[in-house]
Amino acid sequence: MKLIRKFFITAASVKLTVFCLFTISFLVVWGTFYQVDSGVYAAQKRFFDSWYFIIAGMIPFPGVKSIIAVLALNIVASGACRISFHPARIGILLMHIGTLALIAGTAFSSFLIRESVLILFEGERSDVSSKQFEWEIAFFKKESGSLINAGFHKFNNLKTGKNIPFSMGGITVSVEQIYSNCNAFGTSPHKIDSLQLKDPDYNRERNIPGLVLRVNKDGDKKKNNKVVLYGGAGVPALCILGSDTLLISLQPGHIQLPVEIELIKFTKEEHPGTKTAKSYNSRVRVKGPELNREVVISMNRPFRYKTFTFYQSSYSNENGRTASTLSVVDNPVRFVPYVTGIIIMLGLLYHFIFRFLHIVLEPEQNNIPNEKKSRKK
Amino acid sequence: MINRRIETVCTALFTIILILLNSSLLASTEKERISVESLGKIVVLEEGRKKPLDTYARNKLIQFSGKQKVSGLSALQWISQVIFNPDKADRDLIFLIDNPEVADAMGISPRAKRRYSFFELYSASDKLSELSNEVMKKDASELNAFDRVVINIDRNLQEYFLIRSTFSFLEPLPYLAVSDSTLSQKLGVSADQPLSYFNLMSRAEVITEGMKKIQQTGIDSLNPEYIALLDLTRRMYDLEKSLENPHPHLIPGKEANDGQWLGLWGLVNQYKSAVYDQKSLMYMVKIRDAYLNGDQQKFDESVNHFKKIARQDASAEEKLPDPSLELFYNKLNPFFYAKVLYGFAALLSLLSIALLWKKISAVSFCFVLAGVILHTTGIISRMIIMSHPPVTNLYETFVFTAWAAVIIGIVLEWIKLGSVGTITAAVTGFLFLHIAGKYARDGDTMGMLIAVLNSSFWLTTHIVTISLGYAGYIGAGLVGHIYLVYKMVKADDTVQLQKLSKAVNGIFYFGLLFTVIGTMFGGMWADQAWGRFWGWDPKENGALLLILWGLIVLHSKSGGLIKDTGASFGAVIGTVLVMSAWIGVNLLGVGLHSYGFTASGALTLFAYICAEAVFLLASGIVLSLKKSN
Repeated sequence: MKLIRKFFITAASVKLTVFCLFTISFLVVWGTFYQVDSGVYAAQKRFFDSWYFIIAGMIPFPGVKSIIAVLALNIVASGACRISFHPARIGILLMHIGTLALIAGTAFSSFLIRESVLILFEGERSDVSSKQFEWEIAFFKKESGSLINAGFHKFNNLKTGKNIPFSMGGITVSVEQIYSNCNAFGTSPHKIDSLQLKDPDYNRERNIPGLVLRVNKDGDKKKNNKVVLYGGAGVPALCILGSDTLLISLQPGHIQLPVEIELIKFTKEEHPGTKTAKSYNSRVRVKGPELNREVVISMNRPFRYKTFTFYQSSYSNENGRTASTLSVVDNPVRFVPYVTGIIIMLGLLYHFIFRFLHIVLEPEQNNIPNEKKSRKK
Repeated sequence: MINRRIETVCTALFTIILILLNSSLLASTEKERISVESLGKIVVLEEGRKKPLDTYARNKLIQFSGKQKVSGLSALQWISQVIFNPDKADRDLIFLIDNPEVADAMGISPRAKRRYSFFELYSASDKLSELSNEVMKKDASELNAFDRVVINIDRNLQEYFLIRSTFSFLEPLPYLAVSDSTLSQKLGVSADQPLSYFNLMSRAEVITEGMKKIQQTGIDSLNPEYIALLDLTRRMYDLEKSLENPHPHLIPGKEANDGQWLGLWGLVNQYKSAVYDQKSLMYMVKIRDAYLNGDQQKFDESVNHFKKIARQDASAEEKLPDPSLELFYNKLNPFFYAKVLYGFAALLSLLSIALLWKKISAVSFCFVLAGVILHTTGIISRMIIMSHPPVTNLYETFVFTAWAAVIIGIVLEWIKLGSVGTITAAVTGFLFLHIAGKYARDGDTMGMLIAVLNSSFWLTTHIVTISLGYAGYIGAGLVGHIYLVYKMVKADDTVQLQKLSKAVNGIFYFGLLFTVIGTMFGGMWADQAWGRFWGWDPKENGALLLILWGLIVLHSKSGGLIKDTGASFGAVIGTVLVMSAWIGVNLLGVGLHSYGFTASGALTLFAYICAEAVFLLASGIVLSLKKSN
């Protein structure tokens, strides 16, 4: 018990608070400069989304995640050791509760958030969005003229030398080589012969992965069918195993949307006489189990449905046709930063107003405390 | 005796201010042959906004030279000269080249005032195109300071050329001369004599007739007259294409014309031979003639007729705005004069401290109040003119933060913190309006907002609150400086030091409060616009750093790790961080907040950080020496 008490007192130390805040500040500055050469994603991975990282090839350094965890412990311990309900401290209490809730909510939501994009040309519709930075391997089996889905597998979960759990009986698929970013060589997108590893690009969108698979079927005479997949191919690779025909594709990961979105019209409004965009908006028809209506999605005016939010992100022109790019975020705890932010702001405001009134209403007392103290002495 | 001295000083200062305030009004009568004031009220369309020609002229002059006046001429007088009498205007030193290496590379000798005339730059245009072609080969991310200056000069030179060509359809050009005698006879002009485009358009019937005959005859069996006619029409076409519809766009958009505003060349190109029926063009020609002949009455009459026609011609959606508020704002030049007033207030405050003339501090406070009235008028006028919240770009953040810092100073004065409030208000007001002036080329032009910023709600909640946060940190930093200096000089005056310390803490907390609120609102805006609350973007990190620093100082103070002096050091460091988050982050050029990127100010920021480091080090040494003694 004594040990726990001692631990709490140490963990509640203001010195620890200041140390944590200093370390985060240091990491924020370092991470910001790091972005200039390596991009936001690399900086995020190394400094902000990590528990630790290695410097000079061997020295571990705590990442923002670990420092925030210590800070959360520090806040809990301080609360346990020094909590009091004096009116003057309500603001401080609110701020710390809000901060704790924000830390907990952010940690929790990082496991739940799914981000993707939906690119539609005018007249096109879809109920599937693609992840920008996550890839998947998709299997389809050709059966009497139609394609049967034979499963999706996350690219990040694949391991060299291991088999991919496959749903079609008698067929085994093993991973021979994985390329996180590569160039492809071959006679056509359908027939890629080899891949060449490339250095990872700091701009995540430019990293195109590749895979070499071995596909076998029990009883098939031709053993070890080699299949080379490239993320940029745009078409699936064909694999014939005796009487079975498989189509295998390395493609951006997909998210099944709860509604179908059809792009009716994309409009880009410009300030008169300029090329400066005033607004972008997409008029879409949303069809789902509970709704079927037209919606306008524009900059600063997203469309929300259940845990999904659709944002106007950008647009492109291809062969005279306009495509609208909508960002799709599935976040079941979207309200967390709003609620916690409001709690923190209220706490700050309460404390400020309380202190300000204290100074204004009792200026004499506030301005000359030393004199009073000296008189008392 | 002292009272008399104060009186003399104040009278002298007021006289200087009156002279300054009147200088802009006096200039209009001294320098020009006729007053062009009425011309300034004509509404033009620029950068997506309808504005008086006066504003257009100011914007262009600021863009070219970074100033609102040239050779004693107001912007309106200058642009009138460029439009109506370009040959004279070509010698005005208006093009700012703030990189002497660029001047060297163009083969013109660098000048101390760094401004050059169109005439000088035009003679070096071959070298400029050579430089410009090299720069254009580069990717935007590879551009250095030299390249950006080259791009700027090239763009400015082209824009100037187009403005000076407003009436070039009236100018006889050797390029349009007709060498074939038969054709010149038919056109009723002398052979080989320079002709104006307008002159040729008045003979459009002859040209059209000739072209019909060419079509009938066929291109293979043309006589010299028709070959000359074909050549002439080609030259006319090339001229039309090179001057399709240059600014200033003076003619309001009509429904028949898809609402597109036209310049005079645009009108000529649009209506061809029927342009003679366009009253607006005819009145513009009359305005030009009256200007060149110095006929004031005819000038004003023609301007009024032109404005009337423009209002009649404007389509229902193109309802022209009343430019009077904007003209008042332009004439008032509120931020410049507010800066002057704050400057005088700062000087008087310092005098009052140095010479112990306490009564002067009251006069100084009056200067601050006069300044803040002008400052507020300026901000409100811009808000009404633009129908936007007060802060939409980097320039306006400085103007607004200066205003907020001045208000903080006034509040300090109100809660009786001696002359600290006046000094804070005067110094921050002066300094930040001065810095704002450095960004006027990009931000003082009242341009339209890009799509992501086009949200009054979020602009108000996020940017305004963040700017208030910056103002708080800066105000606290300034009082922190005063505290440290005072402690070095008068360490035994504990009462005053306590007051100063309370002010530092209070304003610092105000800064933290609004930075947190602003950052939270920023997160909410990012969630609405980009789909994520926080993305570790450099600008977001800048705001986070300010919050973290505020928390470090406050926790250290409340935990007894630092005392009043430490908190003042913290407040001073806070200003360094504000400047880094404000300007420094924009210099990195990465992230989603690209609308705030800037390439200027790196050296000044570095010098400022060094100066603060020296100050902190020196005061640290002095205070520890004093303590040990």
